[in-house]
Amino acid sequence: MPCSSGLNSEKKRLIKPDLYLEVRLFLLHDRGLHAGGKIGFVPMAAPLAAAVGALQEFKDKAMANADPSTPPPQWSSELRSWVSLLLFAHLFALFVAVTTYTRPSALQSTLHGLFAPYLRNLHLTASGVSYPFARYYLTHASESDLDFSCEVDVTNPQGEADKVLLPPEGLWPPIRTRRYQNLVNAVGTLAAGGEANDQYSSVLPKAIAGSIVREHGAKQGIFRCRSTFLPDIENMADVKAGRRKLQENTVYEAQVFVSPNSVELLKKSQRLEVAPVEKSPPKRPGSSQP
Amino acid sequence: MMQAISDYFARLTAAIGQGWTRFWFTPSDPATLSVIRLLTGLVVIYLHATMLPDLVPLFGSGGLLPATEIAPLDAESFSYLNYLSTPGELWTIHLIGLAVLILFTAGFWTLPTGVLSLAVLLSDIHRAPMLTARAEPVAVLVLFYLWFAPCGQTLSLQSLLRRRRQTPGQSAAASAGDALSTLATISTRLIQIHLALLVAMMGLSKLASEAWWNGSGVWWLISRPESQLIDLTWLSETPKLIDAWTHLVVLFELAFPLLIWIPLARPLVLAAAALAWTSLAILTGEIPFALMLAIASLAFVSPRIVRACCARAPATVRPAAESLARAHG
Repeated sequence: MPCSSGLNSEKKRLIKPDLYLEVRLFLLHDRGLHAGGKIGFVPMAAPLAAAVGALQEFKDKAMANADPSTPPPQWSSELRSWVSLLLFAHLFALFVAVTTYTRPSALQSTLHGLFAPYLRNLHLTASGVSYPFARYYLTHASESDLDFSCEVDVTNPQGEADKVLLPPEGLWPPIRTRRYQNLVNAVGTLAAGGEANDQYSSVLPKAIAGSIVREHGAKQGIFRCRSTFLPDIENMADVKAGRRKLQENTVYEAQVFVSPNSVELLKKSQRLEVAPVEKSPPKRPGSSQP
Repeated sequence: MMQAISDYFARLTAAIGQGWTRFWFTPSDPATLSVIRLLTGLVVIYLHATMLPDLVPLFGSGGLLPATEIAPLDAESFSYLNYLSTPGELWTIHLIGLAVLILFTAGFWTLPTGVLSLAVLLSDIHRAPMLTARAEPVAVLVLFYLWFAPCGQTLSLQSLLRRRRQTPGQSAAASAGDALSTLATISTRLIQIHLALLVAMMGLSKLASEAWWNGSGVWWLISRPESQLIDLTWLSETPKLIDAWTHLVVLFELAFPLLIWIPLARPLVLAAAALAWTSLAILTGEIPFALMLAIASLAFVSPRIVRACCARAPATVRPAAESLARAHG
């Protein structure tokens, strides 16, 4: 039964705001608001209706044994059944999103693919994207769990050389610097992924370098992304005393050629020595460095 | 025998159904949600407003991140910012978004402004997810569950204006009348469950790395020069402290999703959460992330406590809080 009628203004005033919302949410007819009245729904698929019917029966049985001290629900049994169905679907999607975050099985990946449009558009999942934009594990001490930096060497038409660094310094508030750091870390993470990430690793360098080279009125430049070794705990004293320098590595380097309509990258090094925090099992703090 | 099995399953289904109904559909006071709305709104305003200076350098025509060029990284998610490139368009739409967020935070028409606030935040994220970190997903989850709840009933300019239009007697009656809401319960429960799942995911995903088993996880965070909030590398002199910190982070993140549901343990777990989120801010330098976790954790705080705090609030808030407290006995 198609539902197009709205609530009249008198009834709008009489009902509570959340009940009014409930009506709008589920496109109920206004007669559904009367106690004991029937509620009209938009046409529904037969299996869905069967599921709701079963849920309702289940809930009716449950309510027969309800604890008399529990405050009575405000909603009708039928509405609760519909909402329960939505809640169940949403929670299942969430559960899939959470459990596929690390090392998903084929089944989990398939299920995640099923819910992906819902989860991704609402930003409820961190799985199945091209790079880990939110590392809830904070660090796995892997070669991409580092802070990277990028630079673009460019020579303008007057022949003056310039070097543009990312993230830029001196931004306020600090979250702005952090955003640029996130961007640069994404570049480094994709580059550190090696050949598996080949289709993605040039996307950001191309966009960033193309923009900077064009801004300087130049036709070519060099883009580099670097990472810095993290110091082992037992070497920190040496680092602080200046006896040991933190080693830097270039994880991505490319020549950039800019024409009015396109940007081309000529990758110099696909993957140079990526600064490893640890190559194989991480060392325990206090253990000697090999 | 068959009768006994049948009886058992009948009792089981009845108990589950009863529990489900009580858990999700018992009307509750939306006071806590109002506080969550206010605080989340402030964080989201901060996240949105601080993008203003970088809008054109990043998203403008000739900017660092043209929508078409970065599309291969995340082409499936919608953002209205993908269709804007001139400085005028970007600034205008961004300022309108800011106005929407301010209205929602202030508690004006929280249903439409809540939906629009969610759209604003999601568009900011989806335009360039590589600029975001961990705070944004937590803010999204809270906003997603707030918009349909009556989170503007208290601590809002709308409620203030409503009270000014009413006589004292009417005000008390109206406040008592609209205090309990099923949508408030559903919203609160969803925030609680989602937060518990998120923290469980944080804990379980750490177990995939040896660094969190051997005690070095915290060290790899505090030794990152660009991310640290304060320099804690002097802790290298006390490696056992770093070990303990690492193990406590994992222990807490695994225990929180379980213990938070036990009413008797909840105050202690929330106190531990306050410490844990503060330590996360120190370790990662991500203050908005820690703040959002703390704000989402408020969903586990009883509305009575919130009311009690409101009763000590300035005079503009007190009358409504007191009338609601009376309504709840």
